[in-house]
Amino acid sequence: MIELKAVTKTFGSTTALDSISTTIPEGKIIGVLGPNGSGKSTLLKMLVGLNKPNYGTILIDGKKPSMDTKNFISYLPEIDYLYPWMTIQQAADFVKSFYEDWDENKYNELMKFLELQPSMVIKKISRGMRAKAKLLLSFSRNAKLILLDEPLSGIDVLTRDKIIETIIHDYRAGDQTILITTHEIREVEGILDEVIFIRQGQVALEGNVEELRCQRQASLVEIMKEVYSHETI
Amino acid sequence: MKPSNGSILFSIYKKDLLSVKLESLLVLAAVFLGYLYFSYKILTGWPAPTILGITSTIFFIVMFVIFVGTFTSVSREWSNNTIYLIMSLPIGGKMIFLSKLLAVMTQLIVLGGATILIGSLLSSFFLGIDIITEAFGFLSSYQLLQVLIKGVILLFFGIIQIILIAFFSSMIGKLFKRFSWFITVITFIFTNIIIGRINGFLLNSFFNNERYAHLNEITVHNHHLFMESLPFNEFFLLQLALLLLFSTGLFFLTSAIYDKKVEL
Repeated sequence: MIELKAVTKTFGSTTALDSISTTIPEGKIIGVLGPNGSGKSTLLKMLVGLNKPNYGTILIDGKKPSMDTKNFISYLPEIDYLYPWMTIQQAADFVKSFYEDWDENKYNELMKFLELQPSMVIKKISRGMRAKAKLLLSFSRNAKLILLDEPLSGIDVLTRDKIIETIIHDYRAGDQTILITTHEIREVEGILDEVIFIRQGQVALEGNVEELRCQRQASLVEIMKEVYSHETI
Repeated sequence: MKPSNGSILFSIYKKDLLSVKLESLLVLAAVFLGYLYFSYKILTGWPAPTILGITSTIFFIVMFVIFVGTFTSVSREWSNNTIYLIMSLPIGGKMIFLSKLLAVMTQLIVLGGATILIGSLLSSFFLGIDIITEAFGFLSSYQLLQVLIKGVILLFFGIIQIILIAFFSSMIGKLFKRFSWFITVITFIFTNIIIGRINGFLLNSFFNNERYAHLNEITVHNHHLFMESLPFNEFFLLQLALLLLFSTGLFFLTSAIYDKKVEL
């Protein structure tokens, strides 16, 4: 379980997260949604320990983000973060040397499923292929908490479908928690259990996706439009 | 099974070494080409002893290139965004900077060693094999070998200290979004000055008493008196201890800055 208690994060004069408090349940797929600059990526970066809060407390399974929590977190940032000169196999060998939850069988299965080759050099493959390679490394671990920051951003429709299929295919309901930030709500709507809408660094709306849909008689996209009706999304 | 610290260190060290493979090969190729060009010049008229000057010049250029590479080994993680991967791994600053230090030292030994080896072979070719044996004979007969070994040890740890100052300066620079490179360079210069001053002050405080009053009489003509004396050994040990002390302090400080202050 992830707890955020009055967490504030500022970058100079910009407030990315403004005294945000929420509890994220475990064993579910949670969508962190919101427009650009709403603080979604900052939230994920703080969970993995890349950013530190100015105020407030973050607890993951009762622990502050640290070396301990990094052991069970698999983080996929939006940007290309793999060494460009590495092959996919070299990148996998590098990543697996740090974690005991690396699953070689899963890695081989996913490699085939995502139609990647171990000998592919990261800097020489297309953006879509790189997105798949990042996903391969994130999902080849049996990590308890998976943080996916805009995994569908700038990716063609076919690759998007493949990425979503991978998430569904490899997700272990109850054991794993997946947090996804995305703009592509239509694509992920079907896989989300819970949703958190962030607006100007604060929680605008949160809850169970099914319950929200029933209460408001609307799809997630329509709910999002309603939540951000005064903003340009 | 949980990966051991040794295997983690090896993995990250291998990555650091492979990331400079291309640059190292280019430097090595440039060294070969440089020696080839100057050998041709000597064969076609330049005086043979020039090879000694050429060897030392190439050696210092190689050292300078590696020194600049020390800064880029840190900054490259940011420019390639690979810092996102590094910071999300369950390893701390100590492991990261130890592996970077080992990678730079490996580069120094391999490239510096290759430069000296080729230079020695060419020197013996142009000046005759006797010059090498003469040099070693000279060293052993004058007890200078012992001095040379101590000098090399101090140089080795001095280089480690310089590399750690470079890492420390880079980390300070990375705390700022703007003028990062400028802050890195300024920090590097001032840290060197401050450490130099503290080092000088401590050495002076230690040797500036009656017991060592005779050291004031040592000149360039009778410096062997100093080298063969007890104070020289004490100087060596004190300087070594200071280098180790500063290096350890810098290493832990740099790691702590990375662990506690660096954000993306």
